[in-house]
Amino acid sequence: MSYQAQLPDIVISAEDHRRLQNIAEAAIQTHSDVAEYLQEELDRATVCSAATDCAPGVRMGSYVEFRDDKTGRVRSVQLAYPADADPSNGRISVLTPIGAALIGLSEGQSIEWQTRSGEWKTLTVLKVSDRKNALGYLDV
Amino acid sequence: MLPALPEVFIPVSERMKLTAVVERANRWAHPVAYFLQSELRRARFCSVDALPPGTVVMNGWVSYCVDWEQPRNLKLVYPRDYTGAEEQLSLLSPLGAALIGLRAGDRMPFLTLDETFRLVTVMDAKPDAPTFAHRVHDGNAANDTDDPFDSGPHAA
Repeated sequence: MSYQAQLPDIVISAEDHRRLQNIAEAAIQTHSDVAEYLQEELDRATVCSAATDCAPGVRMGSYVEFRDDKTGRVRSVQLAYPADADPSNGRISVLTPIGAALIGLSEGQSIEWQTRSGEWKTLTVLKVSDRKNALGYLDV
Repeated sequence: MLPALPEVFIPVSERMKLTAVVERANRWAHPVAYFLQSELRRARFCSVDALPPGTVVMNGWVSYCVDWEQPRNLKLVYPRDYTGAEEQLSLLSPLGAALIGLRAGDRMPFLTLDETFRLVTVMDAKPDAPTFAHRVHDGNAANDTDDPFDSGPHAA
């Protein structure tokens, strides 16, 4: 569904992958477009666990700085669960086109994504910061 | 043998708001939905007057210790009031769901999002702490979308 000939490799932790699978399934009836997109990303992702020797990219709760390659505008967001999302505080739901595009990306990678109005955009991840006080979880 | 879980006391006036949080969390498959729901199911809902002293309440401050780490003092807030401020703890987090309704001295195990068991000990709890400077939230529900550029899932 993308113009992009070669989608960037995405790497998702096993815990995130399982939870995001639940979220995609819960939303498939009510938000089928973005739920299907999230499902496609989950299906093509590399899943890593303690047993595999790989590091996940953008995780749930990660802070991400990215550039809109068309406008050059740089934004900083935190990737949030749909029930925690609050854009006025920079928390973007993983169940939005841009949130689903971000999951699993690493610094320097670019991805094309489609807005709900159908417009194609490209974003490039500039920086991924780990979760400190992520979503009030405090990572305790 | 494991000790029994500590009792959970919640003012009945919060019941509807808490139920709404659980419903929304369940609808969106939030990872803490089940734990919070199970805590609310075993909670004793009582009038504010009958609330035992030192009970952790919503929008109240709680001093606690996780395992043997440094004690912390945070304000327990509803997810929609959570701004990301360092002194806040969202109810919809493993620690927030563990703390609601406990009393000073209680200990409660909980599972972190990294799937590690931790033990929290409540040291003190106050309905409010005027000596603490904290951000006042305007409670503006109009911000409840998922992306500034796209309309997304909303709270009911």
